[in-house]
This record gives sequence, structure tokens and C-alpha cells, in this order.
Amino acid sequence: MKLKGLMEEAYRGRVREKKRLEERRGEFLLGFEDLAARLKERPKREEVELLAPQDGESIRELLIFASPRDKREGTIWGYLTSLAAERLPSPLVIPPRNYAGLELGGGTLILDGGTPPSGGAEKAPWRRAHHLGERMSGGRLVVLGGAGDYLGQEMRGGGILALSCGDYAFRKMAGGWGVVRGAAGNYLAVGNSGGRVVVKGGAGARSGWLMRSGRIRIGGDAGEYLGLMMRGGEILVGGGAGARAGWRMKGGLIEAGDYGPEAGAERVGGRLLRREDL
Amino acid sequence: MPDPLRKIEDLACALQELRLHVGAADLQVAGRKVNAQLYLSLANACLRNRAALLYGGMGANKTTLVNLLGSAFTGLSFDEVENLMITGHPEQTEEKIVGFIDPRQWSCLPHPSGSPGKEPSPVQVLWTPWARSRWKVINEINRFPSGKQNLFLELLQKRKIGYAGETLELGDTCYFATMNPDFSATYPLDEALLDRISISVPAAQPDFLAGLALAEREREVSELAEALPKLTAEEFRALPGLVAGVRLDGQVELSIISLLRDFTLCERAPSFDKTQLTGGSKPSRGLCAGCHYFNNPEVCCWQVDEGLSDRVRQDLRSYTRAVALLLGLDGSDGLIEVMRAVAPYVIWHRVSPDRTMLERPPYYGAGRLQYVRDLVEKSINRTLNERGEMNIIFARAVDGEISPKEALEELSKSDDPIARLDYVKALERMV
Repeated sequence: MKLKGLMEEAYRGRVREKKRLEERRGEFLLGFEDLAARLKERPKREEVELLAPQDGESIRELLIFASPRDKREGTIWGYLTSLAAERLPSPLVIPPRNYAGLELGGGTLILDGGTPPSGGAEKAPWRRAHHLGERMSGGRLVVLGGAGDYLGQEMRGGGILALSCGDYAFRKMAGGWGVVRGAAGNYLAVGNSGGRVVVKGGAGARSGWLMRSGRIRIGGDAGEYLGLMMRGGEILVGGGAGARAGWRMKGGLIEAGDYGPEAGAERVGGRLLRREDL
Repeated sequence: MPDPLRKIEDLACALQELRLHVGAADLQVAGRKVNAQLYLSLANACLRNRAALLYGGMGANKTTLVNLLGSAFTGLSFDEVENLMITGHPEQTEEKIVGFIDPRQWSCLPHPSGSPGKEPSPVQVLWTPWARSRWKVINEINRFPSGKQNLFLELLQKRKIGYAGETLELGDTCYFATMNPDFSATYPLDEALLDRISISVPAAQPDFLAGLALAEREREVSELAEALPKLTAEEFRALPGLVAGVRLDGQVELSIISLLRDFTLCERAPSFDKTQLTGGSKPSRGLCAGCHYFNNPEVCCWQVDEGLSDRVRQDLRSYTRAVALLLGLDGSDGLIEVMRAVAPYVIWHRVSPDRTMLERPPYYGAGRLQYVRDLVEKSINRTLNERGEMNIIFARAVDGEISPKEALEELSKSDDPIARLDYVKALERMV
């Protein structure tokens, strides 16, 4: 039999249009480690986006089996959480890890660390992930538990809801909103130039330091140096403010139920109001 | 007129009814589900000079099944077949396995060396029953130390045994081996020996229902084995002829060759042949870094370290025929499905899959057979669905219907490894 005879017997007249091997329909990835290996030392979101799978489900699969080993891999993982949340039709629910929701632009990301022991997130610091929702510009980030430090740092839009947070939450915030249902750590909303922050519990020292605009509402007590050197914006405190509230402030408004010693010391501008005086 | 196929069918049913083999139906062939361990062993019994390896944990009915089949196919009792078997352990010697020099030849007159000036008469060797048997079972093959495993390598390769200058022709023989996973007292099997094992079948432990069924078994295996249908010597001899009568169509032949080439071709290997690669230069050692086929899930080459030898082609053809005969699928439509089902079992023990891929879900580092099955599936589907045009162009050029140059122009647009590394090179030689 000639070779053509063999081929004709094999295909029986059913020869499909030729198809070349699929090339570059998104990068084929062996896993998170493979993706990380292909990116440079300080990858940007666009670079991760270029290599990541196109569909949210595939990204979710990558995320679940990933184990970021260092800060670099942590940021890559964070970018992937945002890409998956933006592309999935339903909220992405994953365990919390550092940098989750990094530069999130849309969608909903729920960080579920499981039920905290004794029913209180505060009792489980080992669950806390840092840098959550950093530089986000849209979408929603829900932390079912306590967040670590740098929650919502440099965020420009979108919203964050957390049970509690560590230090430097909403630092350099320019837009969007954040709600903390429990207590916040020190340095809340430092250097803010916009956005709204609500802390239903108390806040640590130096909240609203160098704040230029935006709004902070603290339901409980605030620590010392509240609104330190602030130039604009509003800080409302349901309980009392600690010592040296409004120290060297240049503008803006602080309203609290009570103030500690040296409130408004070396103040250049702005207003300090005691609620019972209103 | 002997009808061994009917008897084999009865044998399979009887094994089930007597609770002598209760494996799950884990092999799907064209809509029919059968037990791989049983049917691939039966297929091996229909062939000659092929070796089937049953691989699995202790008590998975590997050795018993092989001995039961041995009893049914050779007409011997179960105990007799069991006595023929050799079992691996470090103290096994060549003398115990194949034979030894008959000491009696020196104790009686005339002296074997004969009269002075005459040629000495040949040494008489007493071959063991195992060596003379046409049904050879090597139990727990990986308990033989590596050096002693070479004995089987020679035996499977040459089909004859040499000892003390004497040679025993083995003739047409059925070979079976069993093997446990790596334990403390086992030795790794050499790649060359693995390549001479034609098919490897995993043997699993009985599942819940099978366990219940086994609990109903009251009599000893050797007693129950007497109730199994037995083939006559004539029927046993007729089986290879029946298998050879199954004609493989072009679809199967083409898929087999393409499958081999998919596994074997490598752009960076000498002569594009992955079997030429040595330890340090394998896909798993970074050979494929930067290759444009690397990470392409449609391509098999980078996903396994080893290429496939021509023995795989022969084994694929033989077992496809045998299983098709056993299942009555020897018509042209079912053959490709038989080949699709059988091929993973012929290949999986011969190759080392890419660890990174194998460790991912759904394989989790343990699903080696499934991984190879998926690769086989990709290759066959690609051959049947995507390679039609390039194959026809190449065939027309080889048959002289179009010029090789014209075919070269067409095929140079293709990214397919077979087109680029096989067809284009062949056409270049023809120009």
C-alpha cells in the first residue's frame, strides 16, 4: 500500500482544516512558582497580568496551591488575588495572606481565615495578614477577621471592611472608604489626603498624623497625639482623645468627647472642639 | 474446532463467580468496562514472548491471578503451576533458577571426557521446571538484586537460556512478573529491563463490595481453581494465530507511529531522538529551557524524560490485537478505542513524567498512569483531528503526486513536531 493509501484509510475523508499548535494563548503555567520564576525582581501588576491565565478560575487555582516564600512572591500573589477578584463573576473567597487585594480595581475579595479561637479575632494575631488592600482603586475587600499592619495603605478608591486592624492602617489614603468594626492600632490614617475611615472601637496613638483632607471617625477612645501636625480634614472621636491632641496642627477639625493634657499645644491653625461645648 | 475465545470468556466469568478475582471494572474500551488486571493478563496469555508485569501492594491478587490463569491455560493443576514459579530474594542463584550441571554424568562410565584424543562429550545440564515451562512466572521481580535481574534481561531479549556452554531454546512462552512498590528489601528495576516488559498493570486492593464478595469464599483457592475451565494444549497453541488474524487498520497504525514519535522526538537531542539522551541532559534537567515547545500542553516531548523504543510499537500492536480479540472489537471502528485504552499500560512504566506536572492536581505525584493516559489521549486526538492535512501532504509527496519542494513549502508552516522534525527533514533529503 502506498503511504497515501494508509493516510486515506486513517482519515476516511475527514481531514480537518489545519491547525497550528496553540502559541501564546496566555502563558501556560506549571504553577505559582513557575509564574514567579518568570517575573523580574520587582514585578508590576501589568507584568503579572501579562503572564497570568486569562480566566479567573484558573487564577484562583493558582492561588490556592501557591505558597509565597518571600515579599516578592507575596506581592505577586497579591496581584493575582486582585486579578481573580476582578475577573470572577462572584466574590473570590480565599484565606488571608500578606498583600491580598494589592492594587484591586474591582470585584469583591473576601479573606476568610476561618473562625478565630474564642470567638474573637483579636485573640488570633497569627491569622493577621499585612498590607491588605494596598493601593486599591476600586472593588470591595472584606476581611473576616483581624487585619495586620498597613491595611488599605495608599488606597485611592473602593472599600475595605475588617474586624480590626494593626498599625498604619489607611496610611496615605487618597480616596475610598474603610470600616473597622473593632479597634485600630497606632498611626491610623497617617498622611491622608482623602477618603473616609470609620473605626467603631478605639484607635492607638498618632491617628490622623499629617492628614491633609478626608475624614476619620473613631467610635471609642483615641490615643495620644491625635491629629498631630494635621493640615486639613476632619477627625471625630466618640470617646476621649489622649494627651497632646492636635499638637502643632495647622488646619482641619478635631472633635472629641474629652481631651487629655496639652491638647492643641503649639497649634497654628484648625479647630479642636469638645462635644459638650457644642 | 477449538474455540478458545469462548472458553476464555467462561474463564473470566468463572473467576468472578468463584470469587477468585473480584477487581473493579477500571478499563473502559469503547463503552465496555472490564477489569484491567484480568483482561490485560488474559491478553498476555494469548500472546507469546511478551512479558506482563503486575504491579501493586501485598495481597492484591497478583500472583494468585497469574497462577490461576496459568492453571487454566496450561491445563496443569494450581499447585503445579505454583511450583513452577520462581520468587525473588537475594539468595536466588542462577543454578536454582535455570538449571545446574548434572553431577551424575561424572559418576558413571564411560567417562564424559571420552577416550584420549577424542572430543569431550557435551556437559549435561539439568534445566529446572521453570526454565522448561512455556508459562514463566517471576514473582516479586524487584526482590532480585540488580545483578541477578540481568538474567531476565538476557532471557527476554534472546528467548534462550545459556548455562555451562549449553543452550536451552525457550520457544513460544508466556511471561508474567509481579512486583511490589519500593520496600526496604526491594531493588530498583533497570531501565533496559523495564523496556523489555511489554505491559504493566496496576493491581489494586479489593474495594468494599469486593471485600464482601471475598468474605463469601469458603474453600481454598487451589480447590476452587479445579472448577475453572481449562484450555486444551491445542487451544492454547491456537491463540497467537487468532491474535495475529486481527488486522489493524490505517487509523491505528498511524496513531501508534505518531504516538511513538510524539514521545521520542526532541529538537535538541542527537538525531532528534530522545532515547539518545544521557543522565545530565534530559527534559527534567533543563534541556528544554527556552525551547518553544516547552510548557505547551499540547506537546508531549518535554513532558517525559525518555523516548520510546521500537519495542513499544510492537507491544502496542500486539496488545491492541489481543484485547480487541478478547472483547470482540476486532472490527475497524473499535480498534482505535482499544489502542487508546491499552497504550497507557504499555508506556507508563517506561517513562518518567515531568515532576512539576506530575505533582500538580489531579496527579499529586502519584497518578503516573493517569498522567501518561492523558498524554496518550492528547497524542491520538491530535493525530486523528489535527494532523490530517500535513499527513496527506507528506504522503502525496512521498508517493510522488506532488513535488517534495511543494510539500516542503506547505509543511514548513506547520509547528507540529512530527512535521518539523520528521517530515521536513525527510523531504529535504528527497529534494
